[in-house]
Amino acid sequence: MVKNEVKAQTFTFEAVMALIVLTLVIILIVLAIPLTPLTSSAANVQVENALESYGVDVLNVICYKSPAEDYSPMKEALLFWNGETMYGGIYDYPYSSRLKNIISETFEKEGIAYNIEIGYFEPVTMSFKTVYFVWNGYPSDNAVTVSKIITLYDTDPTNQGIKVFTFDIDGDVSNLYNVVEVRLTIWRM
Amino acid sequence: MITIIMDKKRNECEIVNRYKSCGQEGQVGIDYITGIVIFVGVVYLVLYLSTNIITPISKERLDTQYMAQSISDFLIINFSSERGVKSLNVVNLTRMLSYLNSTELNELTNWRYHVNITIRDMSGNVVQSFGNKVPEFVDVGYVKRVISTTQTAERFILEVFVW
Repeated sequence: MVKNEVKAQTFTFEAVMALIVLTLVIILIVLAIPLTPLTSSAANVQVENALESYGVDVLNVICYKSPAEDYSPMKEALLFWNGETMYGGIYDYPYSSRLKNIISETFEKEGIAYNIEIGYFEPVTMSFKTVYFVWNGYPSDNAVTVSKIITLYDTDPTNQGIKVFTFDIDGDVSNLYNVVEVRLTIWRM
Repeated sequence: MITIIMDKKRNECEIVNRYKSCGQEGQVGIDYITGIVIFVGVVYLVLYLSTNIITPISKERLDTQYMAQSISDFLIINFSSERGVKSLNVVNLTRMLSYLNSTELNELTNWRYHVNITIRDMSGNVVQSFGNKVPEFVDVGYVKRVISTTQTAERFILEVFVW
């Protein structure tokens, strides 16, 4: 009798231990796996809409030139950009700090990854070319892209930045130099 | 004599085996119940999480989220700057702050929700905050917008909390 009861206790103890281990494993898995879906589905349409709205906000703000400033933060950074793709974020170079500050506060602190592409007309072939201004990797399936056109003028600083890569589309007929497209792609990490 | 001893031994073994057998069967029952409990627990967990993943059966409150989105749209569109009318998100901050100072924010929702509106600069510092303090452990609708003004070169973050 005594022997059997001991065995019964052993089996119960093992069962309880197994239960605890399994429960802990389940809790660990649930905590470790992000439950927000990263692939497109009906469930995350709302997430995508909110992300698109936020992306439009940020693009509008970085491309807006207030009467209190000479250039918008985006245009200022482009006018002094050396044409090299920046990896992982905006590098420190002259006149990049305002754009870098806004992007850091709005995207990086929010856990939102972003790529910025610049589209412009090439001088020789006059074809439209896109290059990465900032590259943070391949976007996920639920990424959204918003774009905006920035106008360059003859009176903007010359012989440097984005103006070197494109050309004066109308000669000296008007103050218009050319236009560039800014494409912002964002996705939740 | 040997036969008697063997019989006695056999009887003891039968008795022991019988009890042992009963004990093991009892444990099988406990293992079964434990398995059922784990299975039911996992099923409950999956169903509980599924309800928040699948939109049509989500238990998550969306009304506060939509209300926060509506209030942020109202503020940005209603206080758009005349000088910045060609660009969205450009507001007349002076007018907006004046409005928020003089208005009972709960009126924006017909007193059905509590509202807090906070404006921060790009360093994250609070410029001004209006409305009740956002409570902890409450399901809050939250929208973060980015705005420009014609008055300064600064950009601001407009946060709307509804609960």
